[in-house]
Amino acid sequence: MPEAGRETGNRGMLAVDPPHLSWSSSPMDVFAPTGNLYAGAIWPEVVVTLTLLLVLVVDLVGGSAARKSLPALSIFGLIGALVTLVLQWQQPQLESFLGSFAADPISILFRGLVVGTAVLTVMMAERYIAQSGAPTGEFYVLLLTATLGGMFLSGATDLILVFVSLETLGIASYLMAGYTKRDPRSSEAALKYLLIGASSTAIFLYGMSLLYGLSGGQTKLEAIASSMGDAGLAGIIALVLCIGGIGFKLAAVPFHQWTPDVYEGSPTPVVAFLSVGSKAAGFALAVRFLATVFPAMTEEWRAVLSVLAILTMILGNVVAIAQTRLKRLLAYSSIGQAGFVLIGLVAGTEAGYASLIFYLMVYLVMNLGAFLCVTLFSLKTGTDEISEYSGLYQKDPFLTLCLSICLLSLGGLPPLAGFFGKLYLFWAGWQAGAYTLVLVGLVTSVISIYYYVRVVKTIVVKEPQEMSVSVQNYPETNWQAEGMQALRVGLVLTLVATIFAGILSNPLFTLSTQAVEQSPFLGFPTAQAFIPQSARLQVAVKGSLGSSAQTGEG
Amino acid sequence: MTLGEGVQLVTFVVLSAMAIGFALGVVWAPSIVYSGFLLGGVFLSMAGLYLLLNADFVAAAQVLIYVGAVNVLILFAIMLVNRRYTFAPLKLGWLRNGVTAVVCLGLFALLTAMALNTPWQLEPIQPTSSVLVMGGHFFREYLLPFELASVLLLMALIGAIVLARREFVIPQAGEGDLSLLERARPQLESESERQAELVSTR
Amino acid sequence: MEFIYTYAWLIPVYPLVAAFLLGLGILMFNTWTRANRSLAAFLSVFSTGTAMVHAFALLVSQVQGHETVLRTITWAQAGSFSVDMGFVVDHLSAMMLVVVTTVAFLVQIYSDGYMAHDPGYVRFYAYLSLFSSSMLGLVVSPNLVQIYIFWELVGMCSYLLIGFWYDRQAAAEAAQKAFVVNRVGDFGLLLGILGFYWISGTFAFNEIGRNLQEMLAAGAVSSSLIALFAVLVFLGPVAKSAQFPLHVWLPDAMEGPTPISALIHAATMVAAGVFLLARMFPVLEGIPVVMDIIAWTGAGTAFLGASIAITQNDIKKGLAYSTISQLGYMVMAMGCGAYGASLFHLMTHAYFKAMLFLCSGSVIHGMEAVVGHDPVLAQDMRLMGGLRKYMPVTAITFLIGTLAICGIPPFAGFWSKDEILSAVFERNPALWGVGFLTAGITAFYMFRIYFLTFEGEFRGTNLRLRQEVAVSAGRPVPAFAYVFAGKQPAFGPGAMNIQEKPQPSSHPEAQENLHDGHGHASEPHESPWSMTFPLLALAIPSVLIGLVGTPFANFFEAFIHPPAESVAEAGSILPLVAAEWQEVLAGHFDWAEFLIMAGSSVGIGLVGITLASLIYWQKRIDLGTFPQSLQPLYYFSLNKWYIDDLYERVFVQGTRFVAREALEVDSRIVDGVVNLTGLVTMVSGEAMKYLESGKAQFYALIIFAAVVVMVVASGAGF
Repeated sequence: MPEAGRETGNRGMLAVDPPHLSWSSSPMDVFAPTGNLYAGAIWPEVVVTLTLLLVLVVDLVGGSAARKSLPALSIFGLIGALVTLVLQWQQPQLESFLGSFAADPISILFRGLVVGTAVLTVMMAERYIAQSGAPTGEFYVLLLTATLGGMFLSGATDLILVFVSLETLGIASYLMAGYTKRDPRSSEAALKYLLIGASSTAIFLYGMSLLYGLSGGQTKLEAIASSMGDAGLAGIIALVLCIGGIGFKLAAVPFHQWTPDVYEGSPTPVVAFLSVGSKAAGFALAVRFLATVFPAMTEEWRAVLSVLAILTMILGNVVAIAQTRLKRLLAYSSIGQAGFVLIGLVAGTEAGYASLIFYLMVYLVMNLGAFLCVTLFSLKTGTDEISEYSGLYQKDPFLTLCLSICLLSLGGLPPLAGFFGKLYLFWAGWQAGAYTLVLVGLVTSVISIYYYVRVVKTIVVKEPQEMSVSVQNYPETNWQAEGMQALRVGLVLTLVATIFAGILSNPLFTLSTQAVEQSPFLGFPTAQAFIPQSARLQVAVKGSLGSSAQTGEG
Repeated sequence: MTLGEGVQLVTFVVLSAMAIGFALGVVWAPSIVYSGFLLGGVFLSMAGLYLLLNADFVAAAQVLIYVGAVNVLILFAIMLVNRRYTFAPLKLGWLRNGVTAVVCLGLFALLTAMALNTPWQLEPIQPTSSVLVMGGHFFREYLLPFELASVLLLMALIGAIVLARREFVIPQAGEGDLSLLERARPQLESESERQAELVSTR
Repeated sequence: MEFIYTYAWLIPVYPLVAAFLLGLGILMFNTWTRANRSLAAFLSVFSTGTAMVHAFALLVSQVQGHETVLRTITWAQAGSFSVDMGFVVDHLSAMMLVVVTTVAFLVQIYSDGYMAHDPGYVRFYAYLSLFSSSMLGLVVSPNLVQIYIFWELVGMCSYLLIGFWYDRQAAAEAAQKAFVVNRVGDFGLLLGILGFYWISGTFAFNEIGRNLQEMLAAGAVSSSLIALFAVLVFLGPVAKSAQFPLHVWLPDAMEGPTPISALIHAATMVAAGVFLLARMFPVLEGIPVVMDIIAWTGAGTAFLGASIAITQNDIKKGLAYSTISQLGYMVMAMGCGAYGASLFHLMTHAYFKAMLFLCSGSVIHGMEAVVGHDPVLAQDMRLMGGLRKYMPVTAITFLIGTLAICGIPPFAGFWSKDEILSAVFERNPALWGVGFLTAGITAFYMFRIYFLTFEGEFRGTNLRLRQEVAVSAGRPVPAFAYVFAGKQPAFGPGAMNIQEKPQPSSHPEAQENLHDGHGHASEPHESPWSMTFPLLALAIPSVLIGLVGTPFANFFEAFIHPPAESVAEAGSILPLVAAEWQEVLAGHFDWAEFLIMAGSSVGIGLVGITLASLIYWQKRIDLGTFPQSLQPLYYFSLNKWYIDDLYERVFVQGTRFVAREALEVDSRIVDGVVNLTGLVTMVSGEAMKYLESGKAQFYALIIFAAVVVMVVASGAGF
């Protein structure tokens, strides 16, 4: 076959939209492809990748002084990524890389969540890693890679990219879970995480191959959707297998069993990342995958997910009662929290998705705040037993305040952020008619208040003789030590955010609602051209800052 | 049925039988070393099936990576851990096996039913070289996953080094001994002590 | 000048920033913050001062006729339901802002001297700033939800500050009492707010009234329902403004530091109830039943407070009952539709009552040098007397405040009280009678306080009397105990061991006293400058502020009027007042009516004063000559009409009885059930925990099994 013919043959077989291939006809122009690939969509990821490489090189060639700057370097890189994300919000890119990746508003928000988690995790990790004596540089490389995987996962619109980014996130997480390798618990955690992760990856992969086969060789999510209408049993199996794979990332019951072991054995900052960042990426995948690929089977996936949500809420919150270690309690409670978030997904309405995103934002600050407190306490006392916290109120009022606020917010007490998050979720669920889910959610959140308040009660016992041994020997906080300032900044940030994200919830909620409206794949009627949307946002922001002034009272 | 189709059918049956047989062997073999070798057989049979589907590159990769690298690594690992454990029979082991069998058979039944019931959209295989097709894919619509995979590999490399590297630190109690900062629960602690003893006697 | 309106939301934020920084300092840099306490005070005073300047700018602009500014943002929106937050600057809120900021500013300066020896100095300023912020937020609230939030916040601050010396039993109990009593009112208020939202579909003040009137006109809603909700809303002010029957918390609240009594429990927070009534006025004025309830509640409270104040021996308790009585006046005026008069009295009362309380604080501060840090002794008027010699500034300012509250012209209280009485007379002479009588009693008990405290001989050194006082307070103290008063674990203003922070005192004698402990001086001393300056500053409005509301040229009435009456809408009120003055000067004013009303109220005031001076100053009338038949009346008043005892019997013991019975039932049945469910939860929790056996193969099996089950379950239709 002659050269040209083969090329056209390939082109036909690849079935790619011809306009996107126009660059191949002018091979001389090296820079042209970027224009058509819309590679600007991955600027934030590029920033993270460059940071990753920089960290690696500095760690390799720099001295011990340069190595101390690695956390700061990582934080700067991640904040740079956040800045590019904010810039991208002005001009979302609905399709790039020939349909592999979408930088629509939802993807931007979820990537922001992943990056935000990573920033706080670095703040948490600096001191923890230093004190545990493990090598520092590689940890940040792994963390940044996991972040990168999560970011790509949030915007992936192609089966292959979904899989590769899922694996990037997964493998980096396995490695981080086993990072304190001298500790048998850490190794055990990593091994279990790897094995269960591999099983669920296999399940997910099987589901994806079914989708590939059913659609006659399509890998783009949107292209697959059209052939899912009459897929019958194969469609159901594909759906369930995919939900199984995603449920692993969300730690939804019954795909949750890795959570307690992994959360107990992994270094605390890693647990924090897994419970928020990894979960946020999982929800991004769930929203995009289910809404894009299975619109024809909405009834089915809602039914399956409601069962998962009910099981998740009940099991997570009930088992959390019996925990004696705070890390493990947070692990089970994070299972329960994922169950609450699933209500928003099951609702499937505009308000449902918006409240899902809003709750994840709120959950990020309050859960990471709680983990920051746990980290600080274990740094100083070497334990995370709940009973060891008793009397902390008298020794460290600041830590007490942070931990109490974060736990009460997780429990959903007004006027903290978590209350408004739950309020929106339950409200959206109720509007969408998911009455059972909302009722179960209400009952289980009452249970959750019980175990969170129990911890707070332990902390604020007034009698000095009830103080635990650890608290009696509580050392003075040395904020000047390496990594302590970052920890402190993280604590203050999350504390302030937990208090004010609830009271000032409306801008955040507006943000989520707009993201849902302006992401066409969810198919809400207001999703139109995205250029005027940024202008609309500006109007809304202005409005919320007071241009809606009315004069005259009567 | 032409001769070609006949040959294809026979080859398919033979390869499938080999794959199933080896796989059963992996599960049932009394020694883990046998299981390791039989796993190689499974991989080879799979490569044969790929060839039958005209996927020459995937077949070659299967042989090179799975048989040549993964399987050899598994065998190395098995042989390095030169310890024979005598496992006590589990309580209610028959129940576990039974449940597992039910789950597996159920899964198998479901998948079979699905494979038979689904109207697959079949297309004739193009007689082009699969390497060329894949190359085209890599640099067109799969450019991004391809690039991300490079980061993934880099990270895997680093992770492997982290896991394998020997740390030159003096283990102290409590601080900086490469373990979790949270104290272990008593029973776990005794377990780790026992392991530490094992390390020291070796 | 627009920017002062654009940034009007900053007024509550200034003190909030101070409170936030101080709180952060206490939590995170405790040692440093304690070492730099003067910086903390400065920050607090400065932020309140900034708010004060801003508030004055707004007031001036409003006086010049700037239109009302209302700005809101959507605070929470979920579908059709939305709650707005924002601020409104109109005449009323501008006036209130100025009152609150000036009093808060002066009280904060005063606190520097008063709390100088207290270890909780920085915490005190943090609470104080937080309170100022909440109160200012309440004042600018444009809707019921926001006002409710700030209402609870000021309540919380009050609770924290009453129990500031939380390790003192009485303070902790008083805080609890205030908390519980206020819950009753707040619950009613919340129900009322929700009820109004249910009917009218809005929380905004200006819209509720309009919507309700429309609905009433259309007959869409029954008027009795609206009356019910209005009464529920009124429950909020009843608790917060200490109206009968929920007034019992306010006297006990005097356990808090005196600056708090001045700021929160006299000038600002307790007036919030009246303020809320003013905001709800468009709704209330259309419901005569409710207006009558409000008016009679106010009148009853005014009389009750005054009659109890006659016999109190604790100077702060006496002033507290006087506050209850004056608040009763305001509520009564509001109930009679005298909107302007009520708020006018609110303003004048805020100034002179704050001053009176600060004076009492100064007196207590001085007394402590003699009797030690025991509130029972230091606050008892039986041990005072003749203090004018030692504390001239305090005495003069206290006298000014007393004359103001008694309604002697030209002091502030005269004009406002006179306006209330004449407005009430037009509405209902019976109410006027109660108010008139109360005015006389007020003059009597206020001068009783003045004479007992500042005139006659100093009795603080009389050890026998001290013992009697201690015994009558239910705390028998051995005669020699107060010698050690300085070393006892005593609490009160300046309570701490002296070594911690010896403060140079303005008085040389006090300086000497520091060496051998407090409680050894033979005579009290005048307070430091930081305490007397606020007194002098507050004396000015106490004398002069009434002149803005004279009946012949009522500047105040023209400025503050109900929203419905558009007397001088859109435009400066200055020309209007100038015109009124010209009328007066031209002799067109009806002096006769004014003189009759004013003359009678001044007259009864003078009768009260004369009586008090005859009994307590000149000693012409000996109390022993009173007939025995009056004895029960005396005890009736001394024991506060036995209301506290009644509540103790009915509510506290009743609740305890019910609780005991319930506990009985609980332990038998409910507890069993609860234990059972608790056990089930725990066991199932434990069981599920052990289901996680830790075997990875088992986990994988469950995953695959789940997949199969889910496929079968959802594919059952095929």
